[in-house]
Amino acid sequence: MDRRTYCKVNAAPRRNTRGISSYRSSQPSTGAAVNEAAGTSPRAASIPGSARPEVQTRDSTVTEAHPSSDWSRDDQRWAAWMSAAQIGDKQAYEQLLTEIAATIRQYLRVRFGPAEFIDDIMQECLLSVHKGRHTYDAKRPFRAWMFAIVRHRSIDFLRHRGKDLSTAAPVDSDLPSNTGAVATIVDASLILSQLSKDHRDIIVLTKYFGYSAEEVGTQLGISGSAVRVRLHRALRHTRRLFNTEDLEPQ
Amino acid sequence: MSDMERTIRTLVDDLTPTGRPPDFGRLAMAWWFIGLLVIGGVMALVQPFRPSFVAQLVASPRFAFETLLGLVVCAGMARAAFASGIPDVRSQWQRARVALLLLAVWLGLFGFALLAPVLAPSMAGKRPFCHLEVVVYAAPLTIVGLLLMRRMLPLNPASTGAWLGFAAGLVPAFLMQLACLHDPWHIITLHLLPAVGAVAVGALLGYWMLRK
Repeated sequence: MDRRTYCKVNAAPRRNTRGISSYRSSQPSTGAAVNEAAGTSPRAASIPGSARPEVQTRDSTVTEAHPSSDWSRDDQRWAAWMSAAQIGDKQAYEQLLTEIAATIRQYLRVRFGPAEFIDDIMQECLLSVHKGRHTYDAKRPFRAWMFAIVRHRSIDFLRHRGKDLSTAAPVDSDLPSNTGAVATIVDASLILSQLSKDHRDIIVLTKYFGYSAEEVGTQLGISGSAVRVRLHRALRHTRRLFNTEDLEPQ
Repeated sequence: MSDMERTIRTLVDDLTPTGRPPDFGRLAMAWWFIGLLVIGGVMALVQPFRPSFVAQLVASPRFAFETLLGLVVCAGMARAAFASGIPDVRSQWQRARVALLLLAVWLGLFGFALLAPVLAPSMAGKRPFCHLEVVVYAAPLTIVGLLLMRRMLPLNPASTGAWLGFAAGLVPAFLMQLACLHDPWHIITLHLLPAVGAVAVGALLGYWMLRK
């Protein structure tokens, strides 16, 4: 199926209207706001999908997808639905996609904060789940299979987004400051709060605010090449953080 | 209806039965075994195997063990490489740890053989371009493996290609143990090191062929 046939929430990456100077003057306090931003308990923040996800049903009412947040029951139910989907059961497949979409959204919100690109990553993830559904083996845990896809697609998306933005038109870097909003982003992101300040600066400025390497380099007093190298390392570190997360209930 | 609901609806409408999931272990074994036979046949056509290798297998239990372990290592690496086509939260290193452990033991045997040779030193069976042969035979086997893996969902194409390249490189490297002269230093530098070189070839091919 052609990727273009799917609707995209943000087909073209948008630049944030906040300025670089506003980001540089902001200092994230702690990562404690992560859980508040995601509306989850600390335990739930470390366990993707363990919080009860909000599910938008087809008639747009917000309901609880399932009464129990039991880890293994989720996994068994999803595995059963995916097995049914593999033999063509559309109803089971719709239920599965609806539930995992909510879980993936929750997972991404905790890790990236209130980023505008979360819906884009979700679409990439659902598309990959769809394309790779034949590789799921019901004898193996569904969650491990799904989150492997989500992790890879998240990092791939961030890398790709950087490439898109580097070709965008330059913007004025002296835009009105909004330090509170910036601090909220960093505080609400589990991933950003675990990165060093250098790596965090680079990721926020290029991926969240959409500045090119040259623009960021000018503001930080380093070359564009140095920004690209630092960004590469920051994304590698982010991938490592994703990969070392424990997906088992604690 | 939100964008996400529309996406889900589109995906549901596109749903078709997929049948049973691919058994990557069986696929890996088929790829490895057929590759072993074909490459072995081509190598025999290019230049006959070392005439004394059957007698050496019977006469020297250490050489027989070394050969058997090499066979298991090749099969294990093939299985580990094909496993990377199935999404899993475990890293590829974790999934290949048994094969890597066996590989380390196999390399350790060659290291030990530097001090205490398995077979009497001899130039019997020497192939002038054995190092090039390893890379040349590994490349088509890697391509066939990548074509098979396109049916799966390799999330990291370059990494998958690299693992597959190494697994493919180990097949001719192992066969050289029987076809070329048996000297530990020669095996390490001119048979196994080119197999490591096949990693780069595999990574490039994987990136090119598996990127979607």
